[in-house]
Amino acid sequence: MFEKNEVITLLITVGIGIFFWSNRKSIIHLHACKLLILSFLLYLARTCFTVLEGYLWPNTLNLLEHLSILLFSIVFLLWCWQIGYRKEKKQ
Amino acid sequence: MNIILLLTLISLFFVFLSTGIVLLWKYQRYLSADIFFILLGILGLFLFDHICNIFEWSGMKSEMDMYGDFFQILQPMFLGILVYALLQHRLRRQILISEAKYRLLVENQNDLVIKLDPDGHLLFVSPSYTRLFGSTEKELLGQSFLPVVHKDDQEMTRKEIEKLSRPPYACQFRQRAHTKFGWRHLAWAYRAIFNESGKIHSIVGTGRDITDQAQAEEERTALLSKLETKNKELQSLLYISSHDLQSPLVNIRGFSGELKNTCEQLKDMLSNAAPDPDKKKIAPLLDEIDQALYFIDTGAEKMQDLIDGILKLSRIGSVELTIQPINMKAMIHSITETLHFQIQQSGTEVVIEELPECNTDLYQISQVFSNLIENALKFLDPARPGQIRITGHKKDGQCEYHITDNGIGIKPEHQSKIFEIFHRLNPEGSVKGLGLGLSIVLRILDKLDGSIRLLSEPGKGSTFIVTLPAAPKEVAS
Repeated sequence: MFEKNEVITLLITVGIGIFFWSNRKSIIHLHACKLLILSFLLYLARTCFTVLEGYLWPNTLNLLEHLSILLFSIVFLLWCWQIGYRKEKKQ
Repeated sequence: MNIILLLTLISLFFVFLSTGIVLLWKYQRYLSADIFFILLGILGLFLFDHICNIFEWSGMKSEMDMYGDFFQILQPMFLGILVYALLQHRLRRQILISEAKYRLLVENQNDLVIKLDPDGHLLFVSPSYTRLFGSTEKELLGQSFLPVVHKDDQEMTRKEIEKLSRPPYACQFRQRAHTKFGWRHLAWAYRAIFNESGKIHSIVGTGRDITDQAQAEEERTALLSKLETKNKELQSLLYISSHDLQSPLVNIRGFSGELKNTCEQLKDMLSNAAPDPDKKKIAPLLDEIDQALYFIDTGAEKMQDLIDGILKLSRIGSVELTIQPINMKAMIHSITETLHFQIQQSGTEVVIEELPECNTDLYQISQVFSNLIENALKFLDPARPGQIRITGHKKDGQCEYHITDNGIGIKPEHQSKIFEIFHRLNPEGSVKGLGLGLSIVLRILDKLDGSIRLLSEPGKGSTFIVTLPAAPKEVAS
């Protein structure tokens, strides 16, 4: 069974994904954009796994969901560190 | 097992997010306020979400669960907002950099930069403009620039601005304007800026203070006109004086001829007369008169030649030119035909190679080449058979012709003097002439926008290099 909030989250994430795609020319100029995009993809995967775990292999997908959110947090933190570190170096 | 693994992941996650918040806190001074708070929001949402999860897995029912669902929805929204804020931030930064760059350019240049509305009111003035007119930006903006323009230039300025509505939508003009430093000459270049509906939205002008240049130009024009007048005076003086000198010279030559005839008659009379003691005394006197008359005649003849030369030289300046493409090879062939006798007599070989066509006056350039070939024939080395070679090629839009001979050559100390008027290399030598040929060549080439230079080695020969403007296109031979 799926939960409403999970589906809404998935829909919003897909919407944000479309926003990413339509602004890809500008996004690629952002600093450490690869980390940012990767973190978003991991987040998208997490929302997909969250919805899918209601139908298929609940344990496996649940594990994948948590793994992807963990990876997301690592990548996102790396990105945070990159932008701050770069600016500190510039100073 | 799964629960242990999940709890480990959650703990790790908690550690990462906490580290993230600390990291952000550390770097916050390098991030703009909006991005810092969005990042903080994202990390906070994740922390809260997972604290809820921990409660859920541990079997603790919490009031936070319902907020957890809500915060889950907020997470992607915050991510989107973050990216949007980053893009906006980048755009703002780019605009600021670009503005700073252009401001730096406009504020630090000496040229004047203005922006006008279609009615001629100032919308923007550069600091250089305010400095020149001694007013502040506030005082100038919204005002028309015309009142500072000289009364005589206002109509012209209006007409030039009217031109902006027609292609090429740009104009250039000069005007005098009353500035802080008095009346100054300004050179302006205006360009119309159009709005989306195709109407003139504004006019951008760049100007430069050219007062010094304008003054120098005025001085130069005055000097040139003075020089031209003086030149004309000198030319007419030369012409008139040489022309007027001819009349007394004709008298001298005519009466000396008469005197010579009278002397002859006297000699005849004396030879037929009876012997007289005085006859012996008169005879040598008549011989002396005869000799004196010879010198007068020779001198007068030379003077006649010189006056003819000066007249010829002075006429070059006033000759009307007909500039046209000239087939140089055909022209030089016709010169060698007229000099056929001299060439044959001296046993000289004349070689004319392919020559490029130049744009010049046929009569004048024939005179130049005729003089140069005649000179080459005059100064051949008797020790070897003469050879004259005429070659040519195009170089940087100009035609270069080489007239090379294997004659006696010219010593380096004489090379700079040979183009001087009446200068002769060996006045006592067998070669006759007035020393005018090369002066005429130089004068003609100067008039034809050409030039001449000499390469010579005594005993080996000389090469005269004549440069003339090339023909715009090849003419049919």
